[in-house]
Amino acid sequence: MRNSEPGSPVSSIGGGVPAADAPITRLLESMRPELLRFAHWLARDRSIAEDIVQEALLRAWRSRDALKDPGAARPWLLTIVRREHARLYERKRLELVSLEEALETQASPGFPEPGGELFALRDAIMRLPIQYREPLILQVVGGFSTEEIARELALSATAVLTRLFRARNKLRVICGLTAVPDAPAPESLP
Amino acid sequence: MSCDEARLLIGADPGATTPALEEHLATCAGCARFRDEMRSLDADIRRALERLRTVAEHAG
Repeated sequence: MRNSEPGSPVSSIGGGVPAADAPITRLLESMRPELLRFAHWLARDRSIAEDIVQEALLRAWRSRDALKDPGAARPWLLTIVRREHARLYERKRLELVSLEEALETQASPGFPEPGGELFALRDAIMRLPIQYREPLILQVVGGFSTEEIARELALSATAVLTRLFRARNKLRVICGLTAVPDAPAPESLP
Repeated sequence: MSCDEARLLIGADPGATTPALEEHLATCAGCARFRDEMRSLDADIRRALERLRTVAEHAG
């Protein structure tokens, strides 16, 4: 299913919304750009990201009573987006977008110029396998802690640390630094 | 804390720290240099990840 109206993902539920629900409608709408960016880095495709965010916002709307604290809306919504992406990913059982297709966006306005270090770094992040890209996006874009990522991905904290280490270790090489030996699985870390 | 443990923590989250890590870095120039490199790299990663925000907001 593709979102044919990329404007407002909550516009379809915004019409006829009772006045009491206006604040949550505004909240969901205000979060849309950040959710879209988050979904885009996970899915590597803008159209798929729009679909994911649309579905996520509808799920959030339906379960809006579960959000007791509006201050917790951001992690709540990011989690819904991640799970929506995971559902889509599991249904397809493959990488949703070819790398070439994902990197076509590099000519879009707002992206670094080809040949620059940030351009290479962005490409390298896109090329990271999902098991490394996902925790990195959750940490850097989502602001999730190691423990929160571990809960969300059903991994141990040590496994999350290792994946984050490996993600950055791969990116080091892109930036002209030497890769360091792979991280062991320590038993004594806090 | 060993160098392997220190580098795992630094590589996983260059901005984070613990007392045990700071104690190790105070006596290990190699790991201290590694942290400087990773913090610089992480700043670039954050800048690279930020770029999609511009596009998303323009299109939104």
